[in-house]
Amino acid sequence: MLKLGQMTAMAHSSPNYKALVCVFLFGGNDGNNTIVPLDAARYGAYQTMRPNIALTSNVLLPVAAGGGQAPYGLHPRLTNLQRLYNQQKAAMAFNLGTLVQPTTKANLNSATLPRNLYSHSDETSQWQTANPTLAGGSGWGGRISDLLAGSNASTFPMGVSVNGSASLLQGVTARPINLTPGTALGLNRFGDSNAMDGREAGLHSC
Amino acid sequence: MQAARMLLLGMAALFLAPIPIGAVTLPTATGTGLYGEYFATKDLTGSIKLRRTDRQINFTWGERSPSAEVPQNEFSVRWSGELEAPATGDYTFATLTDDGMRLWVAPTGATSYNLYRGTAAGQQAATPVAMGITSTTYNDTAVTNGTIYYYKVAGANAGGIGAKSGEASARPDAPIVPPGPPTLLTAASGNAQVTLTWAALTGAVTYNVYRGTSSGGQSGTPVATGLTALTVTNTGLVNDTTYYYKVAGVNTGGTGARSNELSAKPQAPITPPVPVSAADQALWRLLRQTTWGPTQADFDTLKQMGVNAWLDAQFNATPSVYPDSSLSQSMEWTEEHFFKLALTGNDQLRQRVAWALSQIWVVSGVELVRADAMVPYIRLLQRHAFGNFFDLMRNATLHPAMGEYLDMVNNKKASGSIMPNENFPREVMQLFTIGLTELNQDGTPRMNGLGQQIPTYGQDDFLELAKVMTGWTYPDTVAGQPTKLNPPRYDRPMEAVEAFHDTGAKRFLNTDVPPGMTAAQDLDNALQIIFRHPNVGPFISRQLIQRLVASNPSPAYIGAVAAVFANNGAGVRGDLRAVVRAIVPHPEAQLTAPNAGKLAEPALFMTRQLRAIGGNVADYPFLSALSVEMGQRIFHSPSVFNYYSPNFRIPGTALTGPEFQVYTTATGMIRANFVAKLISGGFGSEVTLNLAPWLALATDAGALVNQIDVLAMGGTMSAETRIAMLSAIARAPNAREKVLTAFYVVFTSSQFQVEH
Repeated sequence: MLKLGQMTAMAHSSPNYKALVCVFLFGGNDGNNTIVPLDAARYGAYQTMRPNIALTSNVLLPVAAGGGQAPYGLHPRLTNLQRLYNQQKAAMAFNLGTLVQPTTKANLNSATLPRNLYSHSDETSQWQTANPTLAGGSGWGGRISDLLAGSNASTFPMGVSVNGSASLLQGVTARPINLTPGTALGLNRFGDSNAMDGREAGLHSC
Repeated sequence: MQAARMLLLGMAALFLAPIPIGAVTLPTATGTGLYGEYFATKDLTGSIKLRRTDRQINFTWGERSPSAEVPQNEFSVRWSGELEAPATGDYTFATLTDDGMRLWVAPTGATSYNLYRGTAAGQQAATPVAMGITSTTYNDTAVTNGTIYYYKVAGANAGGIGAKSGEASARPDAPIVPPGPPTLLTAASGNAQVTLTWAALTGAVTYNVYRGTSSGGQSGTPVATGLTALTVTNTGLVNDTTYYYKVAGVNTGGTGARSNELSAKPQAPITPPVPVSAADQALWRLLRQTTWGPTQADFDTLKQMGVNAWLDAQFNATPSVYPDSSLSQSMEWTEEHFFKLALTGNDQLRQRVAWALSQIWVVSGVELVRADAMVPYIRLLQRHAFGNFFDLMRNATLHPAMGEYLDMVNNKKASGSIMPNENFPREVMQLFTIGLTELNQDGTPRMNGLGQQIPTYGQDDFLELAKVMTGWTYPDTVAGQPTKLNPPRYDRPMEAVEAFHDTGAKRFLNTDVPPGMTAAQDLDNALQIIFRHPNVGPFISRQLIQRLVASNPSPAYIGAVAAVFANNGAGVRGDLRAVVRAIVPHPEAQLTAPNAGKLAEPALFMTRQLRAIGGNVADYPFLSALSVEMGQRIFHSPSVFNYYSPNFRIPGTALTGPEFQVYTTATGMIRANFVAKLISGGFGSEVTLNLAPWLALATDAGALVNQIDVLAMGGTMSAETRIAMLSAIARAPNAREKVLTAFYVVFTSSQFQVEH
């Protein structure tokens, strides 16, 4: 049985081992409740738009912005993120979204827009496929796996999902492995050993 | 030797020569006689039984024994002594006996002997083969096996070489050795017997067969001897025992070395497949689509009633009950109760359809963590499963559970920068009714002149609809409409606070919602606009087909069902009972093509096994817990997008397979391990399978497979699967293991999990 512990072992087998870890919240994060501009003009606008739920400026965790910009404030629960940011181990990226072509408010009605732009589920798919015009398809992580497959000496898949099917990791040919944390990955045996061998042979052929 | 006349006649003489019988004259005996030694054997071997001096060797014993010490038959006598020649001259010694006599005259005058040999009678070479022999015996080794040699001997002394004796002949032969090991060719199992064949072996006259019940463990005593044919059928064996055989050749030299070993396991005859008629297969298939797993009782009822009457009975069956007591129970209790009803309820089709609707009009316990909210919503879906889709729309929209889940409850008209919530207006169109793009009635997308799909609505539409959906709050127990927002309760529909409702003009889906209306009037108008949208029929029909029958219905199939959605034949739109009746008996529901059917969702995967095997489920947490592990916690969809998308593409294929979205490396293993645990008693006292009728079948693997084929696959098991099953069952040592093997291989098979 392959246990998740083995993955940890694989990860540490080389000091140069690097993995790209993606945490996808399926659109479940409220950005304006995560980081808030602290300069008076924009904080005022924020308060106006969220009269009932705006975070008060004195509880926000200040983080400095580069380029002479005014500081921002993180949600008061995000102390670890604040620390990582201050150590220059975390970065924020604002105003991102899927687009087919450069689009502004001015050309909004004439530009080609992402497929089903107002559909939450289509947007979460497009973030993973990096293809704003098609439904479904391979994920950008999976396509990276396709390209790097030749350098993967192990038979263990390059993509590992710990939360079910992730289209991010589906390549054209590469397939991810889906694991449930804390669960052993293997077939449970029972009863007579020789009979169980027969059962497993039956399972593999049927 | 037969007792007979024996005669020894002789006098001292140097030479021995044959004399013709009949020319003998018996002289009178004058001496004391010859010393006789009597043996009870015919060749002077063994102990001497009697010693005596016979004065004259001239007996006629006839059928009598010479003496009590020797038997009547099979005895021999050796006489020895000296004879005195009465006068000088030539003497001839002769005997006349029945059965044989050896006469040896020791020429006392000889000091050595010469031996003469020839290969034809009387044709001895003049040159002796041996000279100067001082013993009265000689072992001639310079001979060739198979040749007859003729010998004479002559005495020699200082006086020269005497006359040659009479002739004696002998043929040396190589000793006969046992044959080598034969080659055992085949060992074929039969019913309580094994048939062996072996190759012919040079030197073997007959064959012996040896048997054991372990490799190399053959008994020293053969189970068959003296076989002259090259085959034998060893009968009277115990079925399902492995026997190990060897064979050996036999000749007069003895029994030869044993052959190679072959084993065979006699078995009771395998009952051949009992064909299930196409008509019966269709009934089993229909039950897979309309129940939580067919049982024999379901099948018998359906067959007796016919499809139409059976569907009517299902439409009219009393709905299973989530009791009021469940309102104060945990959500887990509700999940477990779901499985109890699935396994035992008579309203199987209503449950299946209600469960399908719950995966379209999703309300999830992930956010709504209270049974007093969820249970009334489940009841609503049960109630409307065979009703009109508009009633479902209206009642689900106004249900406080839905209101809370998608934020329509306590949603006020715009005030300053606070806009009405858009959540429900989006999802009611995108997921619950019309979808994102315009559809033809057969479910295929409509295209504009540029070959592009046409969005059903834009941002303005749901912003306008959001205005419609304002003003609703939780119900209360006070008569009349509330005037303020109420605290949560879920036992009746939401009520409107007109002061919070936007009464302005709205326009969405290219249709005006007149201004100045109440919240309820606006809602009814808006829901009617949606309900009349041509997308609803194909959009909902396709998903109901997917939940009940197949993942990839053809446009013709969707179109046929959508047409019934549009008009049930009596001019009514949205009649779900008619829609279900159009889905289930449709010819395409009986397709068995590789791309037909669907993967059984986790709940159905489990209930089908339990209903097929039969047994008593005392408690249900094992089912609700495993449904979680398989990616389908009952009433707890991860989001409003259900456990899986109706458009999920099976990776690496062009096929849609919604349920495959929760079929992963991990859940695939968990499914197999669920089977293992279920059938091996791993769920303890929660479930007691009724194995007795299965164990009774286990002596006949063919009958066992036939039965599981019918109950699990409706008689559609492929020949390959059957062979694999029989092969697996043959490895099981006893009835219980055989039954468990049959269950395991069937329930983990792709043919079981992907229902056709």
